[in-house]
Amino acid sequence: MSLSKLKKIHVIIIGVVLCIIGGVAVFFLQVKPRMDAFKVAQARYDRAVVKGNEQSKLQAISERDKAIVDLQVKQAQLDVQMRRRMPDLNFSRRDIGMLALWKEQIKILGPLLESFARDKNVKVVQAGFQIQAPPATPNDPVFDQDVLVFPLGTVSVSGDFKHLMDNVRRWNNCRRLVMVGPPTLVGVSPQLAAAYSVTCYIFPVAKGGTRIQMAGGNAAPAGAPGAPAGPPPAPPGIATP
Amino acid sequence: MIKINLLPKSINERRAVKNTAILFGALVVAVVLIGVLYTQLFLIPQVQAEEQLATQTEALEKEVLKIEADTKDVRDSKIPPIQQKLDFIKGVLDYNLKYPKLYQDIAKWTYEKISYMGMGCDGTQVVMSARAKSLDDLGRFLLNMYRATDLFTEVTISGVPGYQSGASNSGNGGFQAPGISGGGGPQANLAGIEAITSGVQNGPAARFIGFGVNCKLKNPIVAPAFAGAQAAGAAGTPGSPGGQTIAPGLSAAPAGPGL
Repeated sequence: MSLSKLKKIHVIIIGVVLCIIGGVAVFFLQVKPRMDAFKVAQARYDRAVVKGNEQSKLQAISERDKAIVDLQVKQAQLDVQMRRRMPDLNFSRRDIGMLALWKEQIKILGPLLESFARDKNVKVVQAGFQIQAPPATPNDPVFDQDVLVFPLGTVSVSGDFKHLMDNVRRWNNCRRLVMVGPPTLVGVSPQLAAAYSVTCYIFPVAKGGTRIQMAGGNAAPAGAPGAPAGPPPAPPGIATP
Repeated sequence: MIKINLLPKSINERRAVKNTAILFGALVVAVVLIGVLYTQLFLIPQVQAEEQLATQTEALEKEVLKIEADTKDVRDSKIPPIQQKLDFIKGVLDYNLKYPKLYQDIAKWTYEKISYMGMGCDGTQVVMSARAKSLDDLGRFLLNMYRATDLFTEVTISGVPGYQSGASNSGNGGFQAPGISGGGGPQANLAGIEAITSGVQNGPAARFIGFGVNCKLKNPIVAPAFAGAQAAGAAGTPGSPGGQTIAPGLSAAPAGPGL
């Protein structure tokens, strides 16, 4: 078909079709990808803007500061209690910690509690505490505990009712954290007798650190449970109750 | 003068077609050009701005999330162990005060003519052994205990004597208590703290009705426990305290002379 035979109407139709094709091509090749990219970016923004705004940041900072203050307050409260009621037992160095525990368990705790048990307002019938022997190996699992528990035995006191009750309450003033078991009252007033169990709790400042390499192939790698061993020999000069 | 166009029509037609073709050609170029310019001058900067904003917002979000993670770490990892220790210490200190308070509360509810001879508690129930001079005193005591609803949910008494033929009738209505004992000497009397400390009577030798009382606590007393506490019995390790028990000498049975 010769182009010379094209009439105006043909040119119009072709021109319109070319315009449409050109417009569509531009739309799909240029505009639409950008619009899609815009939508993706907008979706990212919408998703992030929930928390990604200055107000949220300020609020988060405020919450974090509040939490840190809360932590500091609680740590300070615990420090007060630790200073008031706990010995300075730090097991991060197991060998040094073990020696400190020996000293605490053998030389300090018993005499301290027995001394405290002497209440001038009541007659102490029995306050002989028994504390088990301390661990003899620095890799003992006791050093990994959060709390050391010492069931000390029973205290028997006699006196009048009011002073007996005061005597039970008095343990809250002890230099160690002591829990008094349910008291049992017997006898006739004014000379009642009360008996109660006493348990001491000690929080170490730090739990057991790296296990110590020990001679005789008994060493355990850091973080691994200690090798089983026979009953630990009593340290020199330490008597097992 | 008349102008007569003798040229063939096709000459103008060809020019019109050519002009139309040029027009549509320009139109197509214009459409493409507008599209490209719209994209380059308007859309792309807009997209870049939006992407930059999204990137900044995401960075801010990341920062906020990190702050929140720090906060969560403080609240969930650092505070709880401290709080646990503090709660335990406070729990122990409170626990040490609960039994004295309980016993003093019981004393306040106790009829003054009742003498306790023993008292124990295992945290859920209070076991008392006591004695009274008469059934009236015993009844008053029991009624008082029933009214102590702030302390107890249930009060049971045991050892109330029955009738026994030929028993002594002096002042006791003809009953014979199983745990009768002489009343010489000072007697335990928890009828109020004052009564305990000063109101003890050196009663005359008389016959007493011994009985036992078992009261269930409305608010059981639970000893605080620390989650990491080692159980008793492990070799070489400190143990944990034993459970709460009532003293062996105490039971809900009538008090014997030995108490």
